[in-house]
Amino acid sequence: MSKKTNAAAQPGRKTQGQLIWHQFKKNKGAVIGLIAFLAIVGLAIIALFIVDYDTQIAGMLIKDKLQKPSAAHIFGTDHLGRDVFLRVIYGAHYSLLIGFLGTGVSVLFGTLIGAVAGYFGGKLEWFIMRLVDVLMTIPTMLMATCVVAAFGISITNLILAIGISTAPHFARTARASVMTVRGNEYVEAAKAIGTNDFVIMFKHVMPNALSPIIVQATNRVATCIIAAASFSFLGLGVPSPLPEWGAMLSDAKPFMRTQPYLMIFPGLAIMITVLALNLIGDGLRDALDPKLKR
Amino acid sequence: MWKYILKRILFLIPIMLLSSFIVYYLMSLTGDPAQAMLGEDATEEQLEQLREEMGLNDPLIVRYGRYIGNVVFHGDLGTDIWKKSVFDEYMARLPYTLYLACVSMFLTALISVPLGIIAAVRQNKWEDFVLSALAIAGMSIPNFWLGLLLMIKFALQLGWLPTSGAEDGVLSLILPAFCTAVPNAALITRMTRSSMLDCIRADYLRTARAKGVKEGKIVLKHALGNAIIPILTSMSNQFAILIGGSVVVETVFAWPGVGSLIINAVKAKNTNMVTGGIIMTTVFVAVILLLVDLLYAFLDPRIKAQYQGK
Repeated sequence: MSKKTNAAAQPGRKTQGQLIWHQFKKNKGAVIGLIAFLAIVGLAIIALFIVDYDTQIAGMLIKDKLQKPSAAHIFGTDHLGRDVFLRVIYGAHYSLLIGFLGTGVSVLFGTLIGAVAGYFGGKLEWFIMRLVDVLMTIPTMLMATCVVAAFGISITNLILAIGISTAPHFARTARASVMTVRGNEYVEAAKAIGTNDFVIMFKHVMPNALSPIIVQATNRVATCIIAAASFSFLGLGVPSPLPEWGAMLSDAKPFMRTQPYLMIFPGLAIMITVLALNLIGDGLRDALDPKLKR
Repeated sequence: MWKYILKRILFLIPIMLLSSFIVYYLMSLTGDPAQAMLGEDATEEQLEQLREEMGLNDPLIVRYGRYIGNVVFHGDLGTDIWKKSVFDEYMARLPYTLYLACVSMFLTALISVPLGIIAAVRQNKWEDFVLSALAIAGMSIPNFWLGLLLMIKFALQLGWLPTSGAEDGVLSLILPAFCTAVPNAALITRMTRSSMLDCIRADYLRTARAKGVKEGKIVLKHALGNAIIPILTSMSNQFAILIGGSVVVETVFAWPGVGSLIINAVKAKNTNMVTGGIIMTTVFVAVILLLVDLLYAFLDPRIKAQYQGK
């Protein structure tokens, strides 16, 4: 009832957020992705309360080692007798943390330099974009390998490695997006009344240039999670006692002949998380940029 | 036209110098090579002597100049911690990576283009939904995990294929090529679908239909012919990524390519090998992408026209 009166008071008026949500909801895949993603985050939070880190995640319960999936341990136990289900849900922290922070670093640096280049133009733009060209010639995985090799193996360095190696892509997107917004009348109007360039950039230009960056960032979180798992699997990311999914796969490798189930669940966790994020990314792309809709 | 090509090639040189400098700089942070060579119990005098011999006391830019001079004029990337030539080692591995990348790309094209066309032609029908669902699942599967699962099934349990290495010729190649192809094929299927949809709605296709051209010919000749350019662009990018980035799959299958060479070198703290490997791969990828770009310049009348008669 109250909804009706609201609509009557402001016929056809919806906030931008409501419009985006309205579009997003139409995409069934995206809604499934969002539910799956929230479920993963929910499980990760629950894991914090029900799991005893020292005994169940990092401990050793040799008498229970390498048990097949059963009622007591639905995903079985690993070579040190730890419950794989608990480790998988606890491990979501690492993947999500690295995925989001890595993308965050990338978006922050990439968008900032891209936006500065796109907004100010001229020599500064030329200089920044040539630097971006240079960085983009180094293949992403190798750039990340280089950063890990240079600064050593740790979670922080992995986040930095993933963030730095993908930042140039965001710089390009941000520049292109800012350039399309830069010429609008409201930007000219703000300039005409003498508004400071940085205020114009952050208050008037950026909010209108964000859509492609958000879409790219959602997909980037997904690729970052795969990259992080790959590095951990290779032994160059999250070190082994921590239940990161890639590191768990690496731990399980010696037992793949006899205990193949150990390989299944951590990989499945990566795939479901990445799939959920990709579905959300598709939904956001359709909702934020109707031109790209297919 | 030649002016355009020359311009592109000349422009590549400073970019390559800068990107190799970035790699060189980052790798110089890994620690003291003299210490790595002599081990933990070397005395300070021994270390200092070796540093002097290796020229490690010079400023970074001087060392980089010497390094890149050797690379350009003598094809010499230095020696690794086992005194083997980095250049020779790299060149011995490169054919394996190229071989894997070519076969993987071929598989990608073979799977994805027909599926993308079917999805586009049957837009919003069940075929389209199934293929789109498969494509997004394929994009989300970590390729090294897929590799491990297939290894368990086909190598360990069924024994049809070797688990690792490259000794068994084509048989060894099947799993690594398939695993690297799946995410790429998923991406290209989506790409082909959307690119085809753009073309299928175009006016000239309506004209062709009105003229009575057969539907099969419309799709394959008129629509695909125009949709193929963006598909080829992303395939060439993926090819470049495969050369630089199939590090994980190569390592999983112990495929003796440059990716596994670099990763093993990082683990062994074989700094010279990592530096040389990354710089060589970067140059190699850049050259391939340049060739693709130049190929477009020949194919695309717009770029050609820009430089005609100049």
